Amino acid sequence: MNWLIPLSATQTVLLAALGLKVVAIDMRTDDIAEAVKAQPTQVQTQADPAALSWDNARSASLSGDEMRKIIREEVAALETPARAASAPAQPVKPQHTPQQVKTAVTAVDREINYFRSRGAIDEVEMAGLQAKIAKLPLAERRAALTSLTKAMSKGEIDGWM
Amino acid sequence: MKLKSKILAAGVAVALMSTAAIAGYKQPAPVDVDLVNRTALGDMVSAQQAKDEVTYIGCGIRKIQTGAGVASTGFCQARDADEEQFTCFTQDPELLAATATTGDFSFITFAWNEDGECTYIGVSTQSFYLTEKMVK
Repeated sequence: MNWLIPLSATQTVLLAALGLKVVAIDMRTDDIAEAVKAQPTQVQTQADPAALSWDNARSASLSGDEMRKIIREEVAALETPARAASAPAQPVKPQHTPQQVKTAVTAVDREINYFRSRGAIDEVEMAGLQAKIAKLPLAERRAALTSLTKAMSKGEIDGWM
Repeated sequence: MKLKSKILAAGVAVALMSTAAIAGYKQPAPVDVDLVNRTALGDMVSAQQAKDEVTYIGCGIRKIQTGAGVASTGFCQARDADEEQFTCFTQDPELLAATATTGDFSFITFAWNEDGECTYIGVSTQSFYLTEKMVK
């Protein structure tokens, strides 16, 4: 019968320990429940359309429209670089320095004078000359065309435009 | 014999009249370049069929990609039987469009300023510029 006293004491201690463990689990459960209650508020904040993206979205809180919006935005983001890469390159407008313009004008004048001294220009030469004239700025182009057509009209250069 | 000649003459006259009726009205416009008044005119058919080797008239356009865009230059040129000639040019969009309307049988008229720039381009394509030879 002597062993009953230590057994009773041990049972009492174990029961006390079990009770404490239950209280601890209960407190932990309350904490988790409070955290879960706080979670929907946070998701609602993130559900702002401006903040929607795959990075911060919670599927449970997204409507079909919101998901479609995200998909559209993501697809558009993927397509944009590809579209930019496939677009034809826009011609870069060359900026000629006054010195470059002067050089080009001099070259065209020299060529017109050459044809004037020769007295004739053929179709191929005319095409080449007009291509050079076309690259001049508007005012210089007009002056070159005036010089060329006057020379042709006077009969100094036999040929056709 | 006399009656036969009359019948023959009448037949020839009728034949000529019917040919004229088929050919229609004709109004050839030989090329003329007036350097004083700075105008030129003429139709393409008359120029092409002129009894010389100098006459011509026409308009054209060149479009050249320069790298900074397309530069368009239009021009009209003519030389008449007296060897008076002129070539004018234009970069004006409206006049450029006019140069593009010329046809194979067009009548063309143009004028220019002291810088040689075209100030006027007229184009008219009419049946009466076609020759009898071309209609047949």
